Amino acid sequence: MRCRKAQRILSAGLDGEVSGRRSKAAGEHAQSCSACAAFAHDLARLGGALQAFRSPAPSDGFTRRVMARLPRRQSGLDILQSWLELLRPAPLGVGVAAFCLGVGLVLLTGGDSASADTGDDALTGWTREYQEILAEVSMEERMLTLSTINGGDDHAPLAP
Amino acid sequence: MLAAGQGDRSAFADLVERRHHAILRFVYRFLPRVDRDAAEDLAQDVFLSAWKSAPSYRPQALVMTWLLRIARNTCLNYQRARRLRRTESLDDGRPEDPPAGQVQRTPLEAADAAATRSERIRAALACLPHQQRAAVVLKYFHDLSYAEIADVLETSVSGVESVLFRARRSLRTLLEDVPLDS
Ligand SMILES: [Zn+2]
Repeated sequence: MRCRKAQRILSAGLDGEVSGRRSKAAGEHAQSCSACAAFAHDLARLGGALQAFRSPAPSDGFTRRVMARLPRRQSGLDILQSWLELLRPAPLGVGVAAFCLGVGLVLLTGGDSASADTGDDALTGWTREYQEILAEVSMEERMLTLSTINGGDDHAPLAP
Repeated sequence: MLAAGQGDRSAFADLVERRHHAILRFVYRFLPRVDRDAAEDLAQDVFLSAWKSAPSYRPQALVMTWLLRIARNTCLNYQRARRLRRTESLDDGRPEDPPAGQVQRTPLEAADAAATRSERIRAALACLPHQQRAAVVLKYFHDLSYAEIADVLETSVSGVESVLFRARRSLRTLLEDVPLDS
């Protein structure tokens, strides 16, 4: 056995990480090799010497300071993701329900809201367009649209 | 740990309370140039990272080796950032630390007979490459098995055997004039 290999096994043997057969072979080598015997001797003492390396104790209140720095795990994005997770089982049904809610809100506020609450400048393009289309639809047609959507929701297939 | 992964702050506080001393010891010994305050800041960073990674924790890993792996990565990132800052300040023509090799050897060479053995060992550890230094710290001060060290260092068991062997050979030379008896 070469010295380098023997020393590597002696090193691992010190940590109890070597099988009996390998350990025995390295031990036999060290008995007839002064360099490896000295290596094994120094390694055994090195462990004791290293224990002299002290490290400081943590200051009081370490845990409290860590906890004070801990961010809330629920960021805005997390909340959005958890909502999407909730919506995931029935995206179509919930989507239709959200659409109905939107239509209902517009119906409740009526055409007045655009002039009463918000100036035209504040309205985005699609909102204005949407309100113009709605203004052209009669109340009866609106109710018909709503009932069709609600009926469709009941039979909407659920995503897996 | 699993409870902490689900956002349980009090479970996480228990974990910090039980493990922070070990993590601080690792940081302080693994980074030979940091003082106690910097080591403590880094140990806090380790737990902040652990909190962020807690949802991805899998019970197959031991909590301690999982934390130590985060600690090692935190320390390596700190060293990289420090090296980068040093490079930038050298570009600015401002005086800064000499190159790493010189810095690592200086404390050992400068240490006189009055220096404590603890300082000599710290200086000797500073001369080792980071993978060897981590293996020594995890073996001698955390008493981990090779399999656990391999887990922390993200290497194989035979890789740990090899790294520890080379580290010991270097330490034997570096500490030649230090009495090895405890
Ligand atoms: Zn030999």
